Amino acid sequence: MLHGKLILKFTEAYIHPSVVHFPIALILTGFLIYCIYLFRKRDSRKFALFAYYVLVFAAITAFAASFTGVYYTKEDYADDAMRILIDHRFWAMCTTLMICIAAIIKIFGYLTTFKNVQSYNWPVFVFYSLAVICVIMTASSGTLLTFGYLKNATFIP
Amino acid sequence: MYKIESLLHPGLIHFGIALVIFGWIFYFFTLFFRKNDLSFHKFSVFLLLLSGLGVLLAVMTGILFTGEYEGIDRDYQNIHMDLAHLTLFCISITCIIKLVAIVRYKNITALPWLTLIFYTFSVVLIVVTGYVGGNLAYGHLLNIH
Repeated sequence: MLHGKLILKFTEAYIHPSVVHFPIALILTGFLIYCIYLFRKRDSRKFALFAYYVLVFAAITAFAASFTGVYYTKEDYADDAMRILIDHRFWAMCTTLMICIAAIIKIFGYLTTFKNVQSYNWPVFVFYSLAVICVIMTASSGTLLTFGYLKNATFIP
Repeated sequence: MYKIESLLHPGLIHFGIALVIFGWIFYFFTLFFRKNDLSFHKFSVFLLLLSGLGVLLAVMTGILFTGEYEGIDRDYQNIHMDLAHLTLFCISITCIIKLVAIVRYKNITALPWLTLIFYTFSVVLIVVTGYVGGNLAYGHLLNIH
């Protein structure tokens, strides 16, 4: 038996939390796939193409997450929470920048070397690694902001 | 200070949701644009299994590490849990169909439409599960509108 009338909503405030799933999961999983591609010994042109698609998709969704974070989230937080929001935005900007640079290098390599997705492997690896660090920092501050300050749902008092 | 275990479910659901949807897009692309490319079929199966694992972990952490709510929140939680179990069931069936194609038919491209149907159901279900979960977390517990 239900305790009351269930009301399901989808407001502007829900857009950013819905989109952030993609860059978090795809940057981390994509980096794992990229490492498998880089360090396995067999010829992996097809695997490189797979890693390339995941990287490009991760970059697009990271940009979308940043965009929705800037335009569709509120900014009237208390001082402590405001500091965390600034941290969160800084790390989100770094994440988007790093993953976009990695994707642009890969796309540039793909277009300038007759569709060879195995070019510029190590520069991409460096920026991908930095994107992984940044996305973890972004997610940590985002979690702290959401669960810690907006309501002490998961905090030990 | 965090109760770390209470953040396991909100952390792991990113993988379940994103990988199921991305995996479905990749499988769709493979089926319609790279039909005869075995590598693409292999990668889509890899993504399918990875997304199945993501959903399994999300459901397990949801059962083990989230508390029971009361009143109307409990209703949302029950619906969210039922939908999550249905999603897990659907994605498991999808994985099993693909494994049957590989093991029984020795052909990774076999049973494409049956796979696509169950994969599509999984995507719809995970979107609805996430929607109800989002309403529970953001709308009721955090009161964000």
